[in-house]
Amino acid sequence: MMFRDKRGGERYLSPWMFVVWALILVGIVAGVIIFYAAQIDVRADEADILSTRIADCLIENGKIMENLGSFDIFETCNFNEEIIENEELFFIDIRFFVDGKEKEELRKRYGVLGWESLCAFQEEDEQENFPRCSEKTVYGFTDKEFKIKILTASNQIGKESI
Amino acid sequence: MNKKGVDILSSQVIFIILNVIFFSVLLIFVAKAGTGVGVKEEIYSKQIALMIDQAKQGTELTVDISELYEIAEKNEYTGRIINIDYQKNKISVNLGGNGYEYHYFTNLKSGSVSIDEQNKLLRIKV
Repeated sequence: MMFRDKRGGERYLSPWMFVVWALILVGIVAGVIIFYAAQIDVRADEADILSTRIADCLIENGKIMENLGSFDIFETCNFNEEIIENEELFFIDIRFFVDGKEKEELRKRYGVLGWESLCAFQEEDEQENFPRCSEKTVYGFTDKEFKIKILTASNQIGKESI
Repeated sequence: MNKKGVDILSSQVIFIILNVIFFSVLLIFVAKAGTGVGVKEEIYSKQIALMIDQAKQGTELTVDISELYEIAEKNEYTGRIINIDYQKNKISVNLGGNGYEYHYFTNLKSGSVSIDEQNKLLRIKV
C-alpha cells in the first residue's frame, strides 16, 4: 500500500533530501563553531574572588585591621602590584564608612580607575567588551563599626600563547 | 519480488545507509569539537589561575592533570604541558595546540608550582 506509487523510490532519494541534509549540516557546524569560538568567560568569577580576598585580608574574626591609613593592599593581601596596576586587567575600589559617613582619606583605588563608571553602566545594560564587576559590603569593628564597600572588576580574557 | 519492489527496497536501503553515514559524521564532528585541544588548554589555564588566586596564603593545592597528559599524548606533544612565569604572573598550558596563557594576581614564590610527572599531579603552594 505504502509504495503503490510508481515513483516511490524517488521519495527517498530526491534532490530535496540532500538539500535538507546540507541545511542541517550547515546549521550544526555553524552552531558548534560559534559556541566553541566564544571565550570561556571567567571575568565575573575573577572579580568576585578578588573582592573576597580583599575582604579576607581587611577583616579577621570581625575585627578590622589596624593602621588603615597606611594599609598596603599588595603587601597585606599578597597581590602582585605589576599585574594589578599596569596590565590593565583589574580595578579595585575600597571605601570606608563610619556612622554612614564616608572616610574619604581612607579610600583606596587601584588598576584601571575609569572602570568605575563602566561597572555602574554594566548593571543597567550588560556589554560584552566591558569588564565584569563584583561589589561587596562587609562590616568590621575596631572601637567603631566600619562599613566597607569593595568594588572590583576584571577584564582579563586570556590569549593563545602563539 | 517484482522489479518495482526491488527498486523501492534498494532505494530505502541506500536512504538508510546515507542517513546513518550523515548523522555519524555529524556526531563525530560535534564530539571532536567538544574535546578540542584549544578548549582544554583554555579551561585548564583559567582554572589553575583562579585556584591560585582563590587560595589563602599557606594553602597547598593538588590538581589531577592526567587528562592533560592523555590529550598531549594523543597529539604526540612531548614539550612542557604547564609553564609558570613567576616574573609575569602567568600560567600557560600547552597540549600541542596553540597553547593558552592567563595571568594570576597573587604573588607566588619561585618554585611554588611543581609537577609530579609520575602521578600526573600539579602541586601548588600558595
